[in-house]
Amino acid sequence: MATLLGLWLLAAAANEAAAPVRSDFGVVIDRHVAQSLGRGVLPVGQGTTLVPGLFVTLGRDRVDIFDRPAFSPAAASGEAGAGPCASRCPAEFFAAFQQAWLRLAGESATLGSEIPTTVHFAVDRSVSARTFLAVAYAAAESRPVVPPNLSLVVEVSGRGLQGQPFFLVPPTGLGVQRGAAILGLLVFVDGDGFELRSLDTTVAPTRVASLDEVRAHLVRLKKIHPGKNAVILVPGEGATVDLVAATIAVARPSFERIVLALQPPA
Amino acid sequence: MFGRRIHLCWAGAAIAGLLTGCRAQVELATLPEDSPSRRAASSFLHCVESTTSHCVSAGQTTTAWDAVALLAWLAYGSPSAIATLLPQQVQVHQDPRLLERRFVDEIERYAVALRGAGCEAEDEQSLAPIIERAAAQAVTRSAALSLWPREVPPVVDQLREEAQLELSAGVLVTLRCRFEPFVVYAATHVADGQYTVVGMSTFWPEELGGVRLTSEQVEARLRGRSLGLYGASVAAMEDTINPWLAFPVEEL
Repeated sequence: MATLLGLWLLAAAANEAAAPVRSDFGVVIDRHVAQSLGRGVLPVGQGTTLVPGLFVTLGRDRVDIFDRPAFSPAAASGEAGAGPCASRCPAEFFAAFQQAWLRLAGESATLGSEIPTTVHFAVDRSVSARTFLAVAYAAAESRPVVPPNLSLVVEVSGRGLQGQPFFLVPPTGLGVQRGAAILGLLVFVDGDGFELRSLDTTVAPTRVASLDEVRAHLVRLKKIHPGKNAVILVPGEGATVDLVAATIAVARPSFERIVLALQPPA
Repeated sequence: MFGRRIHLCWAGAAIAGLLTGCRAQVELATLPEDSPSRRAASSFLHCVESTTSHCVSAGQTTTAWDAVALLAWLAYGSPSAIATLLPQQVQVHQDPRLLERRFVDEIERYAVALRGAGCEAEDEQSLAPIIERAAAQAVTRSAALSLWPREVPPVVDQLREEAQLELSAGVLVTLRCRFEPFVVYAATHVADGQYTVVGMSTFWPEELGGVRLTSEQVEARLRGRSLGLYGASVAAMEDTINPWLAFPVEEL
């Protein structure tokens, strides 16, 4: 009888000869997204290779954690949640992710591996950006020990899926000490335009209508503040994930650190 | 992913420390009217509580439970771990010493928590259909996610064969506990009329009959000592940058 290891090596050799070696975890995410949400629904953009991690699929009426249906996103539009989620994400979201993190913790203890340090969000581009943020906060806040690295999955023309890394404003605020030299560049993103300002008020509130204008303003602000490298995007009620992804695409060349927030940080 | 064969023992005899292992024969007349599998599972937990991994006798390793656990993992484990760890896990499966070490580690991880957890056998289900369901789901999932799609089917066939060969008459007993870990799963095997526990886990997929813990229980498990998630590393991070914004705050 062939041993298991022998079968494995045989199959692996056949696989290597018959098909290209799988290049990244994006293939796995891509397959699930296609089955769960369909093709061509994710925002388009450029990103980085998707490393193995927890992946969340968010559609208009479903949220999957890995390939398991987890909960409905409908609760995001209801009253703010209470309980363990400091960002006031719906308790149902938090509980579902905490169950997932516990399974991962058990798996890592048994296998002697690490709990995933990255969460990828594959989101239907028509979904409300604020719903996406509620889900993202639930995933991040429920992770034991430290929040994970986060990425928004984007489709790259002809090259599969990649991830746009982003941060979340801490649910308890930035916690910046008085006197710290913080610019705190903010871009409010809504369905009918954009507004740029800063936490320290050195940037006068400026309202613009197009992404090209946002890009131009950010290029100018980068020249004025070359040491600053982060921008905080605050999506309003009318902003979709597609619009946020497009804003990230124009902001990142000037400000590499993209921070998302449900409201301007204190 | 771990497997050992543990003889039926009874906690009452072990309390005084008179036993060096779980080899005591049991007077059936003194046992509660549970099924033999449930009694074996309960005895196993009592044994773990009192003697930790010493209740595991050498030379009684089985890979069958590891095959079942691997099938359940391929069917419902995290795709990220399967993507990166499957070759390694297949190799571990070939090495009885590594399986033995893993099982001992698992027992030692939970031994302290199990003392006083108040676990009682609550449910049992035959392993044979679980093995079949897990195997089918593992192959379907592998193809659906393009997750080792060529390698998984022959591996699953072999694991399924190994598992059914030894554990087709086996039973998965669910023990519910008042405290952490709240639930324990013990796989039992019967041979020559003797029921033995061949594997244990505190995690089992709900799709294969596992129990869904409440939010409070999940929180308690994550914070509990068994998983060891919270400790020195948290204290070491307090003075560094904000864990939510892993870059110097001056960049804002």
